[in-house]
Amino acid sequence: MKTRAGVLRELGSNWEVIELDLDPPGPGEVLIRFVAAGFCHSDEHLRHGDIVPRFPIVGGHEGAGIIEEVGVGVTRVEVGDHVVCSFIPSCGHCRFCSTGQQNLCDQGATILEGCLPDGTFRFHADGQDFGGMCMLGTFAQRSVISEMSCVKVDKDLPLEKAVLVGCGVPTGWGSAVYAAGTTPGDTVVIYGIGGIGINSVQGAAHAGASNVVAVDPLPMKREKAEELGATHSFETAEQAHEAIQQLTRGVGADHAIITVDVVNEDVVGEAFEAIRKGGDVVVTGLADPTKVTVQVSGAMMTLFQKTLKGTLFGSSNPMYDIPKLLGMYQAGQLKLDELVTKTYTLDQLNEGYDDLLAGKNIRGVLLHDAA
Amino acid sequence: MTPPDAVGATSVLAELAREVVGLRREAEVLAVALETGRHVVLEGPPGSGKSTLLRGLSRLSARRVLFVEGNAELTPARLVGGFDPALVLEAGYSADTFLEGPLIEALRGDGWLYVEELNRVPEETLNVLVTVLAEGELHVPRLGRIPAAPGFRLVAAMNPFDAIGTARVSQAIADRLCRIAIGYQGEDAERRIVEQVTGRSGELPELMVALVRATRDHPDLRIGASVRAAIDATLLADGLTSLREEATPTRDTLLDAAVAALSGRVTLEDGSARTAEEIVEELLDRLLTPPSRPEREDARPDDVPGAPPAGAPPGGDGATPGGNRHAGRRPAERTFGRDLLAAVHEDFTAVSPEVGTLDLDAFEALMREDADAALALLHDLARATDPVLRARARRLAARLTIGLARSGTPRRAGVRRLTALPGGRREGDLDLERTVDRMAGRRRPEDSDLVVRTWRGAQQSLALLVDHSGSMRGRALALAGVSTAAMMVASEGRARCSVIAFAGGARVIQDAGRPRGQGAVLDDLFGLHGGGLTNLADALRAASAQLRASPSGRRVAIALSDCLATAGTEPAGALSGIDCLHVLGTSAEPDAVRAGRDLARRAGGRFVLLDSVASVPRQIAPLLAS
Repeated sequence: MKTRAGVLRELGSNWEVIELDLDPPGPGEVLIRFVAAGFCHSDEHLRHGDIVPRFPIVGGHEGAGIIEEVGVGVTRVEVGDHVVCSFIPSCGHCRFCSTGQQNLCDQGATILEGCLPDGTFRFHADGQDFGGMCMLGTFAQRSVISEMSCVKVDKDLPLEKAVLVGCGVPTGWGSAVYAAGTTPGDTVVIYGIGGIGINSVQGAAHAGASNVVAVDPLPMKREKAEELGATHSFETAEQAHEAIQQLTRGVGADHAIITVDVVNEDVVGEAFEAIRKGGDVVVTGLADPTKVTVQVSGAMMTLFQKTLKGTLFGSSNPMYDIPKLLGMYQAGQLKLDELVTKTYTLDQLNEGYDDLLAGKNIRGVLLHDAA
Repeated sequence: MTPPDAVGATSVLAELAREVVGLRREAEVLAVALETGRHVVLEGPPGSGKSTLLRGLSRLSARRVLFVEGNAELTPARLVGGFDPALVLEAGYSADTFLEGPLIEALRGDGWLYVEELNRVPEETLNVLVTVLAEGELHVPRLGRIPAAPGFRLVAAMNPFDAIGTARVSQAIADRLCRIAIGYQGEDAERRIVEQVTGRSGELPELMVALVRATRDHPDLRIGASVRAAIDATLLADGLTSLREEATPTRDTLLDAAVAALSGRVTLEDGSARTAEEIVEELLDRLLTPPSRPEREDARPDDVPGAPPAGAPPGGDGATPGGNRHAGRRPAERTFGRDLLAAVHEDFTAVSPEVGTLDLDAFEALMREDADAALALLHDLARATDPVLRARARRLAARLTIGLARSGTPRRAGVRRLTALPGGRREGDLDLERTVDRMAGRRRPEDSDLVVRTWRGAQQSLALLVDHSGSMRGRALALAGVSTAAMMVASEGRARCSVIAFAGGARVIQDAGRPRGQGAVLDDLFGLHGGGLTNLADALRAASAQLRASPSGRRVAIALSDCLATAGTEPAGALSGIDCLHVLGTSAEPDAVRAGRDLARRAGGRFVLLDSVASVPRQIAPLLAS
């Protein structure tokens, strides 16, 4: 079958919407019609080389849709099911899946290759194989994906909102709740209020932090952060640092979470400075893999027993946390509707990313219009 | 004077057909009716050509038409006329000191009296007309008998959709009028009208006519726009296009013109939470976008609050800032999944068999069987996770609620009476006779001598307190909704009313000084969540603040509560500024009934234990009337 899709052909190129051939689902695979896809910075990272995938690739790794066909041996979903895709598959029996770290599933090894678990591709054009970002390619109207990427959800949940819990929400929320391990009374500082950081704000507030300090240069984002749970917001790290010192009587923040668009030495240094003895810095944002972006005083780390750690998917377990977060949405605790600033069509892909880079959106959502 | 039968109906009609597009049959009936001495009521929506038709006919048959705008302020004195106070003091009562109103002018001079919006005319004033129609004459005290000249005709017009602020035209008057129904004209005729009036042709008039016609079928609109709106929209769009130096009008230009021309002319359906601007924008976009994605309608209907409108155009301008426009309007609240709804309501699956469906037949069947259970279910559906179901349920709940309130609130309860009030009031019609009596021969009246006739009943302000402590779901929400709607319906156009929701604290949902649509108020109410505490005293203070802001009149508060205060001070101590507090009891527990009865008695009001949702309007009507 044919499908339209937003693709990147090479590093630095623009998004292009073209028609691709799509193979039917093989064993363990499903054909999904995407209803909505999220504009996440990670796809843009592909274009700028902060993440290096195999080209050409169909973009999009946040997706929600409806199963249209299932391959041989599929047991997790059936035709008609509503599904939120996880950007990392979970096989369920590798070392990491079986020890409660589904976000590190071994099957995730090829998410930048964009092939399916058997190593082959389902998208083709002009004799070329096209990968799907994170084995998904949600900027395609239809895709063939592994059932390991599928998390079934209730049909009465609006998919154009649920799509956000495929990556951005759990990554940000989990960074505060799981990776940082926020507990009631904590002081948490979050650097960068985008699609990830805003959810770290929600997570920190849910976990009971007394002070949730948001740092972002844009007033719109600071305002949004305060709407969704930040107790304080500042334009610069320096202002935040001073306030944290006052709030904690000079002790420092319990946790710092870095969710800026591109992580660099400066923000890591500032976060490292802001935390207390025994506190931790969680690095959630991405950066150019060839660059050294973490440089701190090892002595301070030792003497103040500070922890500096990375997290993928906010250390959440997709199979558990995606339904859980949707339950929190139903309970009115987790805000999703408020996150969506603007919606776009597939043909507005470049516009959507221009807006994202210009900092106009908390979250942009692509609404597919294929029948 | 030309006798009426000299009107050459045939030649006039031929002439008329050149001026008035369409309406040939209606024109014939009207011409003949007037020619044969009948009085007529023209019934049709605004802009269907009623006045155009009558004006055309009157000009061609050389008759005067005396136009009278029917509204709630049309007192008998304004229709008939009255003695000039200054002249009466100089020269006494005589024909020379009487200033004739339009009715007398028409009676004397063979004219046609055209009363627009007949159903908005107060009953006292209508009674004057009944006498004239019945007796063929009018008797004015101290002036005498005024017989109707042979050419006198009454032509009334009314809008059949009009339910707000209108009284039913009584049988006595209806029986004396021929009724001519005038509907909207066909699309072609409307386009010709617009082209004829504006001098423009082509796509623009076509688009605006289509837009105006679409407003008449929109589920959120009770009354759509008339062809007049299409005329205005066409001229505005044309003017804006040249002002902005555009080759062809852009979407924004069309939208500016359409919103200006249409949004004030349409009337929202009871209970709609949307604004007229939003609906005009939606319809315009729908017309501008080719209908290419029909399946979208189901997947994401246009009525989901906060959702992007279906079929938003792909152009840059059209990309909908989905979240922005509604963000902050109401924070996300707890919603109910289908499993939970099915577990709580045994009829859930019958009423909503699939995601996104609300089976109206099944719901109506349930309504007939057990209205309270049906309404309780509906109010929980208004909180469903499923956005399509939620939007449908909210709309239905608001409509049903207002409908219940309307049918159950007796008109008499809210009818204003003309009453003579002495003592220096400056508003209303001067009651000359009584004033002169009070002056007792003095040359100049003092303030206290003035007697005016004014509407009594307008001078009441109401505050409704809705208790949402504990579980604000199902039946409790339905009770609150219907009570609020009943109060808003009963006070329409005559009393200021405020609505305050309270639990541990009080929140003003409707401020008396800034009335919102009934739909918006109910929508907020349906979004209420239970809080733990009942702080009645705080709520009473908030009500008192609202009532104090009213200019005058009796200050009445109505509390919907179990009255078992669990927070705040003693409610009876927070009654200052409230003339009377009625209590609507929601719980039949003896303690609650005792507390409610006690509070109402101390506050000079009544206690009513609410029984079923459907009977709420009837139960509280007496409280609103007093």
